[in-house]
Amino acid sequence: MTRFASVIDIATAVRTGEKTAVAIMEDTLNILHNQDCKINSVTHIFEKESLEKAKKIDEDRNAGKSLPILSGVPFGVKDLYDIVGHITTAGSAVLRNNPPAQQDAVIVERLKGAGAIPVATLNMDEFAYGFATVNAHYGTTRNPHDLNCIAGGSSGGSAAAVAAGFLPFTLGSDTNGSIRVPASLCGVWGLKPTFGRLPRKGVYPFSASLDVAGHFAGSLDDLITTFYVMDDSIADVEPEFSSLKIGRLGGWFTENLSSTVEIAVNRICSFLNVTSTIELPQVQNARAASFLITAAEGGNLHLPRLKEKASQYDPATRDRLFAGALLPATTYLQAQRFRHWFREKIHKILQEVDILIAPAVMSEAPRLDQPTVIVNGQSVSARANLGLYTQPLSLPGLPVLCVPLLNTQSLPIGLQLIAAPRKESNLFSIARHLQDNGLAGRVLIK
Amino acid sequence: MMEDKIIKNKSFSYIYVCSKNIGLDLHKYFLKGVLINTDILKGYTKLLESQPLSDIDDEPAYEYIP
Repeated sequence: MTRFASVIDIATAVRTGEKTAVAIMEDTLNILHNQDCKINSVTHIFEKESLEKAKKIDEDRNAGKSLPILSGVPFGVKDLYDIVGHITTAGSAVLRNNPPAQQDAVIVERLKGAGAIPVATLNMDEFAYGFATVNAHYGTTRNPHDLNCIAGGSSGGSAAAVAAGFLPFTLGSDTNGSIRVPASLCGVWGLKPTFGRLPRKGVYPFSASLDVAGHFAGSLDDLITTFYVMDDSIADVEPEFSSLKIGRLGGWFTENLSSTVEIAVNRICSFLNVTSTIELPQVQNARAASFLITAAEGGNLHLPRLKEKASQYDPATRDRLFAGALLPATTYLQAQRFRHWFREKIHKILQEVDILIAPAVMSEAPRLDQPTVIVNGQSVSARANLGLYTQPLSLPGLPVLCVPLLNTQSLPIGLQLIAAPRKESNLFSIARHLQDNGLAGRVLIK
Repeated sequence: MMEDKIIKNKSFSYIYVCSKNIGLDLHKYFLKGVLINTDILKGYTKLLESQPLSDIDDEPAYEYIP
């Protein structure tokens, strides 16, 4: 039952005794060992530890103890989350000789406290710097919907493992779109919560001003259930979808779209009866500011290691980090001042509407042998440009839900739903409405 | 020989000086890739420099709250 099983189904089966946690875990390990070879989403499997944890859950159940909400549910983590006793490499070779983590990342600790079991680390672009999950050290993660296509990144292993049905939910991180881009290309739910809402302790940093911890799931209910466990909070009441005012982002967010994506977004806007178009001011500058802040902070973070061990980096990552380290202070400060300016503008807009809609990516997944996308008529690198619509929305730190659209007659296409800070429940309400009407949900593999 | 010629190029000299300023002994082998990425960042910098910002209201967002 394990492949494509939901969080809720697994937890219910373990709690009622329909299945043992050990049986679930053995099944999961078997799937990861035997079915991931073509996709390459996994970088390490915690075989012994996960079986021990599953055994303990079965013992607790047999002893009549009440089991917590996620008991026996396997999950995976992007390889930048600390797992006690394991070396966090952040997809690199240069950190391979670091000491093992002394404790779990806070989010992992909360999930384990709820009974969930971390079973694997998952592939990513080195140090999260990329949108493709093409990794010089751990290989390329392939899109489960078409193995010839990019899975998206940088949390590509996490998105692909859910899309392939290997794991019901996985952890990722999003600095410039690293959850939303792979969620869109792989056809799964992906949430970038409000900046600062989920703790980042124990998550290897990329750009402290923008990094957000988040996750992927195969169903909306699973995404929501695990979100509130990670947030250590009681679920907010979802407002009636009909009470929410929705606007569609225009201008920048309607340019460079493939016809397939344009049709898919139009269909959703039509269904939701969205009539207002919102123009964000200076979107190209918001993207530029995100780009520059990321480069400067990433470059600064890695400079000591770059001085000693530059040759151990993936060349593409290394050159970008070097360039970031060389940015003048005035450029970084201008970007941070612009962020302040942009925040004020966004907040004014969010006084008028509750939800903004935008495409997540300009096209379906590009092919691995032709990793380019068209921007302003030019063929440019997909690895650097798939975040065209996600990067400007990273800057204000708003919560964004990537919704997998159904019946698009294409490879997966994702939609960004954007809300005011800490209003994730608004996102869930609209997403549920789309799901209940057959317009959104995990895209099944053909 | 070819590498030496490249380093004499003005853009490469700029990179070389900047890297020296932060104590980075940038190997010649990396220069070309760094220059490509520096040019990309320069494009974004130019965009932002054209943005009017208030001296008073638009402080850098150090402790950012969304």
